[in-house]
Amino acid sequence: MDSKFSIISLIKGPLPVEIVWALTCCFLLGFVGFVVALLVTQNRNNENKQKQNSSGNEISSQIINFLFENNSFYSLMNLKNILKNTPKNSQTIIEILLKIKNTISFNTHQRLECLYHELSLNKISAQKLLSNNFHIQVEGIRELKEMNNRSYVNEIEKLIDHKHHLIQIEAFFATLHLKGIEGLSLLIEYKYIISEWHQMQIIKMIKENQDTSLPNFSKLYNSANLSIARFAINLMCVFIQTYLIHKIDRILSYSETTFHVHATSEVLGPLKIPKFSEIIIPISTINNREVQLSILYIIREFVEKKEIILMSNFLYDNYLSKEDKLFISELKIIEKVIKDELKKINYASLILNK
Amino acid sequence: METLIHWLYIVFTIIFLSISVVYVVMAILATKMTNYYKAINIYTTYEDILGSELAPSISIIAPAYNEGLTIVENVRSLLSLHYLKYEIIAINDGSKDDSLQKLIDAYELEQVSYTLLGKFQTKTIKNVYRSQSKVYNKLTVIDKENGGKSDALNAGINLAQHEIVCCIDVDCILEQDSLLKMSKLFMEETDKKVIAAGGVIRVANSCKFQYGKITEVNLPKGLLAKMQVLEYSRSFLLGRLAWTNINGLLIISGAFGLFDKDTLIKAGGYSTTTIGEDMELVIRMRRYMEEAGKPYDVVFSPDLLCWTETPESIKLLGKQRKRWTRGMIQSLMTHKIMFLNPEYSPIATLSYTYWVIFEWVASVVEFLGILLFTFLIFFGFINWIYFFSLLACVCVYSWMFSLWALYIEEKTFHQYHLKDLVKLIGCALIEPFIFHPLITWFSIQGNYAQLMSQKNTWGDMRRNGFEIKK
Repeated sequence: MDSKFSIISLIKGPLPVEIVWALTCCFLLGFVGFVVALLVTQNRNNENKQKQNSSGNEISSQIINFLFENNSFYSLMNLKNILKNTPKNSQTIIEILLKIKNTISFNTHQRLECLYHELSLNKISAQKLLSNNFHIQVEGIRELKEMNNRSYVNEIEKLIDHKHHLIQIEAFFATLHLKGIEGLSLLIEYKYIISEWHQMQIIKMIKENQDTSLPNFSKLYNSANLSIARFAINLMCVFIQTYLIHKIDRILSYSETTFHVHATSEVLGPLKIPKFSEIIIPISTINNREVQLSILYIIREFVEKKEIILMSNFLYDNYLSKEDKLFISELKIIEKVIKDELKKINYASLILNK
Repeated sequence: METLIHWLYIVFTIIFLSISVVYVVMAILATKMTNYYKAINIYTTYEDILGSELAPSISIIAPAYNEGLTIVENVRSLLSLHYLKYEIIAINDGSKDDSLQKLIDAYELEQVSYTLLGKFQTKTIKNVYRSQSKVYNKLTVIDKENGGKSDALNAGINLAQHEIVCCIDVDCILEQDSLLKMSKLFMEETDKKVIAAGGVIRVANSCKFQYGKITEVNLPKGLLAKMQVLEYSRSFLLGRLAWTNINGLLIISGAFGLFDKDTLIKAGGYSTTTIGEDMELVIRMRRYMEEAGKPYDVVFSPDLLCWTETPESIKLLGKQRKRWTRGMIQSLMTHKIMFLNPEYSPIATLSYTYWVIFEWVASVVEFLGILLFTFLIFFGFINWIYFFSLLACVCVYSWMFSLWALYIEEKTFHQYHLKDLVKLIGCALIEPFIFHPLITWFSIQGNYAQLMSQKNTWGDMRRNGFEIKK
């Protein structure tokens, strides 16, 4: 073979060529590394799958026996033996417990939580809180939260000041969850925007913890955080606390117009308050066109026709500018809804002719 | 001449190095994003959304053109999704086949009167159908004159009643919990409005389906489809996730994407003048939010949410890629004001600039590079040391990058058997010599077609239909 084409002659060359070959070697190492990582991960995943299939079935049946059969003591002993023989199974048990929790009725949850405690799995979850890996910490927080384990609530609460934002949030909501209804007061001081996802989790928690009476959510209106006040409104709607409607005036102390619009629409819409007199008093301080229009917009969706007329009359006489084009267009929409009735109002026909 | 070749070598090496550095950074970002996503979703019970008052309501819009072979099965798959607050609007965009009749027969559809809530101008709607059976009461079918995919989507949006619209290709099969997982992304919105969301799309060729659900995941038999499995993994698990990490995602696949309806309407809906309507829409929505000074997020889930059939012949693949290239160029040109423009947020500008340089110009440069090497070989000016060193570097880099994607795929989904993974590794090894030049060639064709202003079309794709398990 011509020496020009020998491998050594290809590798040896000017500096740029040597750099390129060096890079090629690095990439090759990377490639081999990923091949190994891929095969190892595949193997590990298969092993886990197999393990879950074999020991998982045994663990699941023991847990089900513990929950629903009379001989729960033997099931508990069997599970303890499984743990004793292979401590690595603890994570599998936790995962299975959490899976089962999602499939059984709320009444049985306590028994499941009791099993988690009896098997000292809470200690394993608590250990995870001390990890340096945020993954593991979040995992630990979630496990304790899901299994409603209140014994570590202080440790979790300390993590609210953690430097990692995800851990802060997780720790906050886990603390709130574990403290139950009284934990809701934590929300007053909450400084971030609360997402609907977290709102949903809190609503679920309230539903699970509520006994006979519901807490008064209106104290959350005192929060300086708009999203919390909005959440309070959502809570009022979800739990149909119409008697709190008069406290809505607190919401109006917030300066953001969009919030007023949102707040009024969220309260008036889902609660479907049929009589305008019930809402007109608290909203009488509104001196904002957008809010008034949003009220009109929502009101026309559900109140009785005569209430719309009353509402329109009231707003027209007291708050709205007669020259307001938006108001006129809104009245036009209302007119489409209740054409006949609206024609009877003299002033409306005057405006509509403009 | 030797000096010239030396400098050309250095220039190509620098270009390649820049590209590889960017891709490695992206892969790192994507890996971090996958880990983050895994952490925030551990022990998540998506089913909680089902009973929640706060769950967003979704309108699925599925345009169809000559999809008679698969349309009934595909709509059935949509009807079986795990979600409560949703409707399906299937649009027959003037199909020449029996798509509409098949739908009418299968779902007991009857003509109904309708009111359009939206105001987009579209081709004439002939009729709207709803099912008389309670089982299918989520289904609405629009029969309209042919106007193209964007026009059909706009017609669907006009009729959509819910706050989020989910635009899909009707030939795709969605995972049953796809809406649950996507709605969580919208529910997690905090200080930034989530305007659009997408998820991982996988190649369904050779997979088996039953009652609209996937029952057996198989690696496609054809080499081209296998290569596309690799390509999809790289694109979704490395590319899109990386951009999501820094909120710079510029494309949500037309096969499956969710949009905030209010923002979508304010941004002007789908453009009917471009064939890359999916990318163009996301850019326009971003631009609308940027210009309005509103904080926003375009999010992406590394969860596997949607299955699609990919072309198995070179001819069809060519058609598809030509269309994609043209769509990309049209989208980028429409919003050229965003190129290196400091008036837009740095990430939006960066993302736009990336697309121009790495997705558009790079393929042209690559093609020119191949031409140049061919020229040098032909006239005997080639320096084999330069040639082999650069070729080896590019190939090995491409292998590493593909393996990185496969590794994330295995970590995230764990769906392929060992033998399939070995086959995919084999595909990764030959891809730079077979598939990649082909894609580059189609991209050049797309550029040429765009330059010649050829007519935009739906791009007829012959389907084999999904294999139904008996």
